[in-house]
Amino acid sequence: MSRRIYVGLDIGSISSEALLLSEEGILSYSIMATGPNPKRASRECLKEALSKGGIGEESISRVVATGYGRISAPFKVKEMTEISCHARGSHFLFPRTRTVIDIGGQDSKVITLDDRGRVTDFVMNDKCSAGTGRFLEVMAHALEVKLSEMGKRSLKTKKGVPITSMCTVFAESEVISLIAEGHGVEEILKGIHDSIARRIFRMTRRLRVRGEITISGGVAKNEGIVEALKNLFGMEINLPDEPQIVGALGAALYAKEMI
Amino acid sequence: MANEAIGLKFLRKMVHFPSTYQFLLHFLNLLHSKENRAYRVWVRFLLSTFRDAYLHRKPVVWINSFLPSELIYGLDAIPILPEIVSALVSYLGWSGRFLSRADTSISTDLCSFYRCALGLALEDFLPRPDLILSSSQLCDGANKFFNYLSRLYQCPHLLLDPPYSDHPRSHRYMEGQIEEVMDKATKILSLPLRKERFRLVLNRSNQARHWIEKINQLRQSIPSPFPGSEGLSYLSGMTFHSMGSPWALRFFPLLYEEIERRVFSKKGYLPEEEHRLLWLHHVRPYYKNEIFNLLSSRGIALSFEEANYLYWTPLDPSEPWKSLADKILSNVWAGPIERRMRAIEEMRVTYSIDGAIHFSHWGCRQSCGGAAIIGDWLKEKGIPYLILFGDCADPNNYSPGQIRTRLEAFIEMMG
Amino acid sequence: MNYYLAFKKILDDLKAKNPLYAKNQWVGWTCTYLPLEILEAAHLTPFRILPQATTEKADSYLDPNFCPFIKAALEKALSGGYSFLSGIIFLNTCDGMRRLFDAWRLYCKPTFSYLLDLPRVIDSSSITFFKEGLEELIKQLEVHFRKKIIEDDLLMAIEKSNKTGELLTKLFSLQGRGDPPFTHGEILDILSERWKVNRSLFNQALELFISSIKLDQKAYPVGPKVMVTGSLLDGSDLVRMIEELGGEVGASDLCTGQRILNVVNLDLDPLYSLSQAYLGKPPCGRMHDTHRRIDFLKQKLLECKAQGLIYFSLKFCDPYLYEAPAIEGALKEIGIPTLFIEGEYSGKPGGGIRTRVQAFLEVLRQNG
Repeated sequence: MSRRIYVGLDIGSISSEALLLSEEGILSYSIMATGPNPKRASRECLKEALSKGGIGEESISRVVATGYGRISAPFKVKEMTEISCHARGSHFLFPRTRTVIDIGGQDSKVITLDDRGRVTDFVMNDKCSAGTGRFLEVMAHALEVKLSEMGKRSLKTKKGVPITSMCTVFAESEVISLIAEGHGVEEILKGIHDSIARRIFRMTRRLRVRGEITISGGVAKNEGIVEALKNLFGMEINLPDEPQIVGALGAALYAKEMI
Repeated sequence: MANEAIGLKFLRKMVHFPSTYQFLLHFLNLLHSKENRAYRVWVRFLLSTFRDAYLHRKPVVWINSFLPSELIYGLDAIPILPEIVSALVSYLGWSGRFLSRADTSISTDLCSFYRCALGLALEDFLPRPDLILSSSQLCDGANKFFNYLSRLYQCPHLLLDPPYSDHPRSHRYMEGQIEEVMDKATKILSLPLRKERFRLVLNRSNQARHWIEKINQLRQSIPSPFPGSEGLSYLSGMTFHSMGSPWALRFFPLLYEEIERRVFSKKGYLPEEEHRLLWLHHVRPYYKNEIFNLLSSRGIALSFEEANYLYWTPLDPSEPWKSLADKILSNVWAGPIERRMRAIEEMRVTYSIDGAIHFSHWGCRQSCGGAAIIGDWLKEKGIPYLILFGDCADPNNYSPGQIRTRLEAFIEMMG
Repeated sequence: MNYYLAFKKILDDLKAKNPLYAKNQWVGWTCTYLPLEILEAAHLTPFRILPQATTEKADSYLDPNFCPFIKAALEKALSGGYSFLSGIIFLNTCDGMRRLFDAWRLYCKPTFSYLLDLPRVIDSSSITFFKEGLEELIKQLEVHFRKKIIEDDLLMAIEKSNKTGELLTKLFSLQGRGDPPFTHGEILDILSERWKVNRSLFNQALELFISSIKLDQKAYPVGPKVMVTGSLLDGSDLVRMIEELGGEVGASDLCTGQRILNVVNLDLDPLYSLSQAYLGKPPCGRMHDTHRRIDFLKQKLLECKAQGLIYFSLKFCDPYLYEAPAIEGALKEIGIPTLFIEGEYSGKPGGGIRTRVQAFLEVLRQNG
């Protein structure tokens, strides 16, 4: 069986993904925590994806690596930034995508693309944790709510308490004051989710949002964020079944297209 | 800590000691090199200028980049640009301590060139000024910051304040200002005002301008013969600091020759040129950074930079105040942003540009405020555009990972 | 007695009696160095740009690290909040304003926009230059609005403006008097009404108000006395906070306060007089002459017997940020401490500012 397998590796600061792409489509993928050793994480991740897909290393045609740890990924042929990869991956899953919102653990991006999935513009926020998964983590801790329940609970109320602080650290203090003042947890959660959505909205640079918006990255699993973004943009947002593998998918697609 | 203080004291003494520069000049002469002779002229120019400033046989006048240096050379005084000293100090990797010193006095939201200059002044590393003469072009800092320096050094501060508009009456007003300021300056510095000297200085400036024009023409060649990273350092440096000085007449023709040789042999500064970029904003990070190597390694040439756009016509040596007023008012970065846009459009066509990077230097409101406007306009023309946020003199504000990701994404975008 | 509410009632009554005041042709303006008399002579009503807005969009049209006032103004303009204006006039007050002028013109496409050149150095040539700028502005207004501005109109406008100046001087002189004392914060609140009506109405209301309140000549000391100066600050929130914390604001040098006061000499050519009066005002932080500014602040501090200066700078406000150390240093030499605070353009000052002001007042109380 001379199957050609293309591999995309997305080595993030928090999680790493590996995705195997064949001529027919996505074969398998794996997600795991990166831990302190990105090189080892990429190897482990790839091993797991190969085993899930029932493929041996010898079938690998090409590997493209992306993400913060892309430099240390072994056996890659090429590196591509997460920006290009998230654009490509989102476009593959939802071909009418023209804007991608990627909210990761430590950064967030808004990317515009053309009808071929090529990047036309992008805005990144990687200086400040407000508007990223980290913000949610900090708030989950302050409110003593499980991170995985934050989104669901935020949707239980229609009106949120506005969070005005720009910075995660100050927002945390603000939330603690709100708890002390007796506001409901769900109202505060809604306010937190609205705050993140507003930060993202700010980044969209008043792009003439033609076509569809797709969301990717770990935070896309938070239904509260997706809902808040839908409200702000006034339109539906495409949600991949597994938003965390979009980057690796894009990288694998680039691997496939390379001559 | 004590060692540091002693080290700093020693360094300060060396900096103030004219023979330090004389020694470095001799040392430079011993190093033979056929390459980059123009670069060495620039270094010699700087060393001689500092030596003379610390020798203090002639009055020392501090100016900013957009105050025409012809005015100072015309007085036969020595111009020192604290902004350029900051850039040099940053290039040598020493800006950190001076920035920290300045942070005790002024806000870190302000331009790091000015902050570093303040730190240098507070630590007494700069040649004492007899007069500070600045132009409120191009930014608020050029007015207020120099005012503060004048209080520190207890020397007078004269301000040229070019109007926003470019009407005939603005030219008259500007001419009147120059006349008045020069009158005051001669009295403060106890120097005579010699028309013949100004004639000579303006002639020199025109000759230099002629070479700049020719260099700019050569740089239109494909592939790019001269890197923008150098255009943003010693080339623009000489244009700000040496117009009217005989040094300019040693530097520019030499640089022209160097570039001409490369153009004749059809040699670009990159082995393969995939794209030709325009660098927007007058400055670049001067401390060690990966930006330029990264671009070069991908075949992305910095073909031209707006900093070296020749915006003024030849001066009239018989009418020094009038023609310098005209020079000042033809500045494309003053006035409405359409002037800057027209210049950029001209450069886009002339240099066959297919992409632009705007380096938004932290604290530079006048330039960064226009980055999005210019970007929208360039994007309409289908030119890939990147705004790179960063700091030109403060290495603590440089995040290699963030810059690399943005640059790489931009390169991928260009295809 | 709530003096501000008393004034508001008088003003509201007058507004009710003069419903047509709302049908004005409004022309927006941002900087107190613009002689409003020129607009009034053209029978246009100046509308002061004091936006209340968040800055989601504006960040991407300008630069995120930008003056909050400028961003708020652009934000409101982009959302159509200023579409009722028949025109807008800017001055090249600062780098940010130059870019605001560009963005406003290019993205909001106003029917009439103009930038008046404001000199930084004040001397006879710049007064003449500014006057020429006013002539140019008049020409542009005449062409666009199809009116002729005659000297009589200008003189009448100046007279009314001088009347405002006279009334405001009286108003400021009442500060600190009465029991409870008429506070500076209330004066600023009264002034904030100036921008919602035309000058005639405001003058009338102010005159009625001043004659109606009978204030004790004696001044009642409240707490440590301070003076407040700074870049554009909307409303009285900061001053009221200082008063709430037990301080007394004896005087201020604010764009929404005393800086709107002008006294124009009617004996000379009106445009020349306007130029001279406006440029001759005590310099704000944007002007070149720091020495003159320091002298002015010192004089005012001594006049109102203030123990300290609160120096407020908008975030990213270059002129005020650069000048702060010079002012602090000069005042230190004469034994007057300065509190430097940096903040947003409007709204209640945050916890950090509150703490700083409180601590400063404690120090002043201690110093006696």
